[in-house]
Amino acid sequence: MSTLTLIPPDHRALLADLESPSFVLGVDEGRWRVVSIEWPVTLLAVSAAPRAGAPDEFVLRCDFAGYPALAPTAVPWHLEESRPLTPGERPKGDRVGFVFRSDWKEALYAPFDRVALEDHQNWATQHARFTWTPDRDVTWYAIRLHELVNDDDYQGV
Amino acid sequence: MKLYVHDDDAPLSTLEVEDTMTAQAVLDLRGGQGDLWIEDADDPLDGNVCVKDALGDGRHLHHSRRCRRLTVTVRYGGDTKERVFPPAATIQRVFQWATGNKGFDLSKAERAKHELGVCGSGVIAERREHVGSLAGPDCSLCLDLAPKERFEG
Repeated sequence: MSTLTLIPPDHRALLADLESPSFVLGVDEGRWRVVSIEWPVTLLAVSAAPRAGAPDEFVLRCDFAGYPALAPTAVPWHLEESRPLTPGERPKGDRVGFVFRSDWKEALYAPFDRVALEDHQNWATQHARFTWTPDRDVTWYAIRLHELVNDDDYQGV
Repeated sequence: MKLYVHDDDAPLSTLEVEDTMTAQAVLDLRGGQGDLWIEDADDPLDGNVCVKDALGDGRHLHHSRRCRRLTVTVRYGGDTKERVFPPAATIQRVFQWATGNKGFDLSKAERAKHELGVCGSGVIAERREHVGSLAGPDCSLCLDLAPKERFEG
């Protein structure tokens, strides 16, 4: 039995999409990178626009179980200390501030997050363009995260 | 040299080419039909041009088989604006035109609050995508300029 067959289908699907030209392009251009994978947990670092006193990238601890049928869910993560970011360490701004809010569950407050979608089923119609569906992929997800912390609206931490 | 090739219909792909290859040689690798364009260029590459020299620091090509020119319509606030673009034009370039003084003339603050989506679909027009990759077989593309969505409630 080959090693590949021991890898569950959701993990295999993610690994295949991480090798797609569109995801690799983002890596080549420094927009995002995969820090590690300990299935189903994947640490994804997304580069951020320069802001005074803010980091040049944010790491998300993503859970890709069920990928791509199920949306991922993620927590903004402190890589060195292996813990969620504190409120003071999270990105701020009009849109991004809502997505990275800390006064909620340990998930992103967005229709591309599994936990948020479970709590806001109206978002699937209200924000259809931003709602995770099984035809989305990790590149689409990374673009959503990257645009949030590179928006003109992003104010730093 | 690794190239990223945008297509009319297929997803983004990569292509390894020799540094000395001409545009015609690269085109031949992809079946020989259509034209190759440098990203955001107004005209296709001449077949005799060395692709590496033409690209400079860039690595993005568009391979068009259908349209050398596309009509892009942008809808905003009940009004529409129309302009012809080459297939290799990025959505970022369309956004700059649509929000600029030849488009809907949005202020800098308003520009930051808007984005483009494909009309009547759930598709976000990503800034890095090419017009030719989103257009229909009739060489036209309709985009909505809409306020960025906030996830509340």
